[in-house]
Amino acid sequence: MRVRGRPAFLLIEALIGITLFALFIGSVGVSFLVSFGTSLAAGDRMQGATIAQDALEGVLAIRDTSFASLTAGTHGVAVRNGAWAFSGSAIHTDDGYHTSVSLSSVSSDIWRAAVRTTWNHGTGRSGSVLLSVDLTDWRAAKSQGNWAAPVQRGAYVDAGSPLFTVAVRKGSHLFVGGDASSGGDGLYVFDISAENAPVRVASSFDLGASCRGLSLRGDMLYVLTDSPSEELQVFDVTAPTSLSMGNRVTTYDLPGAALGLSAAAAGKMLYVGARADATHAQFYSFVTSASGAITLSGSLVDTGGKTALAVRGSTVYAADTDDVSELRVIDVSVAGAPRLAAGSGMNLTDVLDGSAVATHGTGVVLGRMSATATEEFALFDVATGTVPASPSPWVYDLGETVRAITPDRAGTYVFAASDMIGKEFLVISPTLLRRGLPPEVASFNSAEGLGRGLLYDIWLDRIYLLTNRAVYILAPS
Amino acid sequence: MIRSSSRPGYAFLVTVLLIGAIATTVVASLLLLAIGTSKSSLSIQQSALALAHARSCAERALATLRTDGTSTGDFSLTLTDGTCRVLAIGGEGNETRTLCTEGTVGQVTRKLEIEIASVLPTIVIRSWREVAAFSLCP
Repeated sequence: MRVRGRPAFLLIEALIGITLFALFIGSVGVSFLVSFGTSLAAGDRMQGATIAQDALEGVLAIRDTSFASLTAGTHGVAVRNGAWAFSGSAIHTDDGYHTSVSLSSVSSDIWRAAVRTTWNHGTGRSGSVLLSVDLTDWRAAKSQGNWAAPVQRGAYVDAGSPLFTVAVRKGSHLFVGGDASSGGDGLYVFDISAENAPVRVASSFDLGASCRGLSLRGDMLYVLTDSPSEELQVFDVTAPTSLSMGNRVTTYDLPGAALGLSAAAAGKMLYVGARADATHAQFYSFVTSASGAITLSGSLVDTGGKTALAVRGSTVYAADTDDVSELRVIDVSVAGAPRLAAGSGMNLTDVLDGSAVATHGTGVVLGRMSATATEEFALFDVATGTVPASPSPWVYDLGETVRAITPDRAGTYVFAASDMIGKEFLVISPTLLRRGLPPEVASFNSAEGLGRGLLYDIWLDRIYLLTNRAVYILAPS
Repeated sequence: MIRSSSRPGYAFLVTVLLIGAIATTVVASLLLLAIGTSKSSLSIQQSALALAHARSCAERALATLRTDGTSTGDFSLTLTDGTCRVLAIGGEGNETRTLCTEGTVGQVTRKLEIEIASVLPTIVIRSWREVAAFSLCP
């Protein structure tokens, strides 16, 4: 009897096994090498992107220092003496990255900076990263003309007596409110595209009431009137030239009858000042919308009437009829709950009413009704808080009632409309006033009535002086 | 006569196949890791470019606003390997305006939200932030 021994592996199985094993191990090795290489390449790209971003920040820093230092061409960007600066045509790092910035002009006021970082670290490890950004000189201060010598560019003179009082601009159209008591239409629309010859459009429009305030939000014009039941009226002024009562979107009936005196807007908020009244509030805050909606937010019962309003942040300054507080300070920081700021306001000598108010730098400028030996112009300092503090006020005896005040763009002057014959428009220097010097810098003589209101267009650097019969367009020389 | 049954070679092959399965798993992991790393680096590059595009739109919108206070924004630009968009500029007049821009490169979008305290005489920025979602702009 023979026992068969364990036969050895067949050769074929051994060969197959060895081959498969080799393939598996080989594939592991190859994939490891590929993965390693790919990871290195990815790291190169991340490093390149980081370096390019740094260079981009350098270009922005150079632009921030001086827009004029941007010159066309290829530059390197590096830190020199603690500041970013152009350096040669490229920057090379020790680990083999090369970065250059290509500056080119896209238009007269736009530059394009293309930052390219390249590297070549061997086979399969070369590449580049490109970042580009457009740069403008948005940081530049917009200069203002010389208002020490204003000139008339044009004027519209009405045949009647519209008693123009307030104005707002929308594009090439100027909306001007006036007093209807003298037979005027209450609200007028002018095409001011040709400054030398403003033309009234929508001539058939009649507001049917006097206009006490105007505010524009988008295509919605908010009009404060002396209508007893529709004090606030909102018009869609998408097409100013065809304005009609059919464009009226909504109205709002203020408590009382025709008590609204003044209006001022800040963002979506509309503030309305009202007459002194024993029953109703003297200050209202509304929320407006781009669709023309008006929603009462809050109100404040106070003693005096608010003849003019000026908004600064969360504070509203009011020219007041209160005999002991011609300037009132209203805190509107809490939505829906306007309240008098601590201290309430400021009392000036005599009892003449406040008639105009504006904020200017660290000051608040108040205009008053005129009387003998009364200063019609007062400057208050609010540098340390919203309520005026010493050493203010600085006062100036203009000699006539100040009807409107508005600050300029550069923070140098305030403009005023007054009853002063021969000086219906005034350019006042608060700096001179603080020094106790005569603050009148320039004036303009209106041949068509007293100065009743004005609008300073900060974008166009223009004054629209409103008088009994005319709208003047004044410009700096 | 006694026959002994044996399955020659099979144990070896099974072992080899088992090793192969493990090796295949390792290969797949390494390759997925490589793909992920590569995609991450590309995303980082695209992200940097998207932020630059958002900045470009912000620069242009600020320059336009400085010139024309009634500028409404709401425009798009086609830039290098991507686009940027300016949303409708918020606010009215010279003070308290909001500007939102976003830059897009591939699937990556980055957003900037800018609060402007005042426009003239000099643009004063109250805040300039990158955000995941706009909160100040409609």
